[in-house]
Amino acid sequence: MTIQRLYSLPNCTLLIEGLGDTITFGQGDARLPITMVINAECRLTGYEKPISGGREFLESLVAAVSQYVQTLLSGLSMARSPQDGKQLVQLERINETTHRLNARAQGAEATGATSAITQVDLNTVQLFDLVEAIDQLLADPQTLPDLTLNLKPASRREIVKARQVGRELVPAAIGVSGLAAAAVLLSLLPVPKVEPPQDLYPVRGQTTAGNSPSPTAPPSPKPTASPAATSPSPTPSPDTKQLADTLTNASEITNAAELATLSQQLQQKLDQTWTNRAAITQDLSYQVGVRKDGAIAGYKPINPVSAENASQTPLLSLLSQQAATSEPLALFKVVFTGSGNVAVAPWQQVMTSPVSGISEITDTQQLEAILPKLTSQINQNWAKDPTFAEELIYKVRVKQDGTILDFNPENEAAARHVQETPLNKLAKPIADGNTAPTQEPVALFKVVMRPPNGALEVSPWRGWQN
Amino acid sequence: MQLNSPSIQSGTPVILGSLPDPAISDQTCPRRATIEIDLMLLAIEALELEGSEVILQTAKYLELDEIIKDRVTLWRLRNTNPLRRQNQRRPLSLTEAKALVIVGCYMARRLTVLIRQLLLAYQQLQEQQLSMDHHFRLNEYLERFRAHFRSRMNPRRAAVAENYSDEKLNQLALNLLTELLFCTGTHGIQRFWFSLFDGEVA
Repeated sequence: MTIQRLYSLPNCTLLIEGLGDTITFGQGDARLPITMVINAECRLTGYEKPISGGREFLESLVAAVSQYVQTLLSGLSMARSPQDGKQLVQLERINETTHRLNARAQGAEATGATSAITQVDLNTVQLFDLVEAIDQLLADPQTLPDLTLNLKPASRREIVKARQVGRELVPAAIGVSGLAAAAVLLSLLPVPKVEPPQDLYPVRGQTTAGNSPSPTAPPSPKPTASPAATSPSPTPSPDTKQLADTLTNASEITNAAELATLSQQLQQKLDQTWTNRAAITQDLSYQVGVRKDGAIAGYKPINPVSAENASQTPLLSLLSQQAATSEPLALFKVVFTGSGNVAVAPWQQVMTSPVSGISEITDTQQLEAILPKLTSQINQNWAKDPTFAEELIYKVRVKQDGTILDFNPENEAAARHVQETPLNKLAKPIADGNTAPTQEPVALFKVVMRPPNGALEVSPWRGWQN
Repeated sequence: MQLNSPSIQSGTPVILGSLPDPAISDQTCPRRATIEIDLMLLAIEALELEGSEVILQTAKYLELDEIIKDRVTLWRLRNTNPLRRQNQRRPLSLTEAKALVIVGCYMARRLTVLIRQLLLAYQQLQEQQLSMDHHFRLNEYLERFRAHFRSRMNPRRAAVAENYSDEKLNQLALNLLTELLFCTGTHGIQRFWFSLFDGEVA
C-alpha cells in the first residue's frame, strides 16, 4: 500500500510517495511512517513540469539545498559543493535575487541526453519555500525517519579550497566580505606547522651524547620498517601487490578542482561503508588511487600495521570490479584513525608538506643514529671557507642509512648561499611539487649553519620526542 | 528521563540544547560570528520599532533572561562585535551566542510576513530596474538600517569605512533581509547557527 505525504508552501509543494513499514501494520488508523520512497515530486510555481525522482534524487535535493543555503547565510562558498556533475541536483547563484536549480533525471548520464536536465530559476522567496518544504519533511518523524537534517560548518580547508579553485564565489556582499576573507586568510596562517621551540638547538649535547651508545641500538628497528612499502606482509589478501601496482603504473590526476571533489566523494563513501569502526585500535594509513568516476582503482598500505589490518577497512569492499586500465588516477592519503574517523587528503598535498610526509622516521633512537652520519657528511664536504654572514637554515630529508635524499632552504639566506654549502654537492633541492613518495622511510632534520665558519647545528625537524 | 541526563546542567536553559557546540578550539565565538549576530539583530531593529526592547521581552519569554538579563547586558553582548564604536574587547561565549541567535530567529519568525513582502518588493523593483525608494516600506527599512549602522559602527574600521555609502549599506541590509528569511524556517535556527562557523572548524 502506498502512502502519500504532501508538504505544501505558497511557492512549492513537495509530494512524497512511499511504502510504509509492514511491521507497524495493524495499528488501525495510526499515521504510518513512510520508510521507502517510490517517488518524490517537487512542484515550483511558474513551472508546469515538476522535478521528481527516487530516493537518490530526494537525498541529492536535500543535500544541495542545505549546502546552498549555508553558503548563502555565511557568504562563504565551500569546496564540498556538489558541483561535480555527479549530483542529481545542483544550485547556483545567478544574482542577488535569482537562484538556479538544475535537476538531472536519474540515469540520464547513461543516455547522455542534455534534455534530461530541468532548469528552474527561483527567486529568494521561492527558494525559501523549497527549503521550508524540505525542513518540514525532515522534521516529520512519520516520513523517512532516517532522513535527517545533517548540517555541519564547512571546515577551514573546504572554504580555503573553494577560494583557491576559484569557483564562482557567492558574493559575500555582507559588509564582512573583506573581513571574512581576511579571517579565512589569517586562520590559514597557523597551518604551516610551528615547530616546538624548546627543542630547537639541543643538538650539540645530544649529538655527542647520542653518538657513542647508539651504534648498538639502530639495527633492531630497521627490519620492521623497511619492508613496509615493498612487500605486503603475509596476512592480507594476495592481490594487494597488484592493487599497489595499479597505483604506480597509472598517470595522475592533478587538477585541484577535480581532486577536491573526488576527495569529498571518497570521504563520503568511506564514511558510509565503514561500519566496524571499533575494530581498529590504531591509525591505519593507505595510498588510495581513485578513477575519474570516483571508483577506487587500487590502494597500498603505507606501513605494515596497515597492511595487516587492511581487511578491517572498507577499502577492499569498495574496490572497483573493473579491470585495471591505464586511466589516470587521483591519489589520496587515507587514514583510518583509531578513534573512528576517516581522513582523506590529496597525496601531493601530503607529500609536499614534508612535515606530515609518510613513512617518516620519528623514533628517537633511529634519529640519534642517523644524525651523526648527516653531521659528518656535511662537515667533511665543505669545499671552501664559507662567506655568508647570516644563519642558513635547511630542512633535510635523510634515508635510514644516512644518505641525504634532498633538502629545502628554509630562509632566504639559505637559498642564496646554497652553492657554498656541502648540501649542494650531497643532494638535490626538493623540487617544487615533485617530492615523490619515497619507498623508504626518511628522517627530517633541521640543519643550521652559522657564520663565520659554518658551525653546524643539526636537530630532528620535529624536535626530540622525549 | 532527562532529569538524570548529566549533559543538562542546572541553570542552563534547555532551549540552548537545540544548538550543538561546534568543534572550535576555544569555546568562544569566532570574530565573523560576533559580527553576523550583531548585524542580524540590527536588521531586526530596522524592521521593528522598539526592537531592542522586544529583544529583551523575547529573551524573557524564552527564559533566556539569565543570559540576556537587561539592557546593559544586551549592549555588552552586542558590543563584542569588533566593528562597534564601543567594542568590548571581550569574547562572546557560545552560550551567549546561542541565546542571541535563538532570540533573533524567534523574532524573525514573527516578522516572516513582512520579510517576505519586502523581499518580493525588492525582486520586483529589480526586475523593473527601479530604485528602492519606489517602495515605501522597503525604503523605510533601508533608511533605518543605514542610520542604525552609521550610529553604532566605527567608521575607522576598514570593513565599516568600505561599506559606508548608501549603496553598500542598502546591499548589506538586503542581504541581511535574505538571511533573516532563512532564519524563519523550521530548521532556520540551526541553519543560521552552523553557517556562523563556516571556515572556522578544522
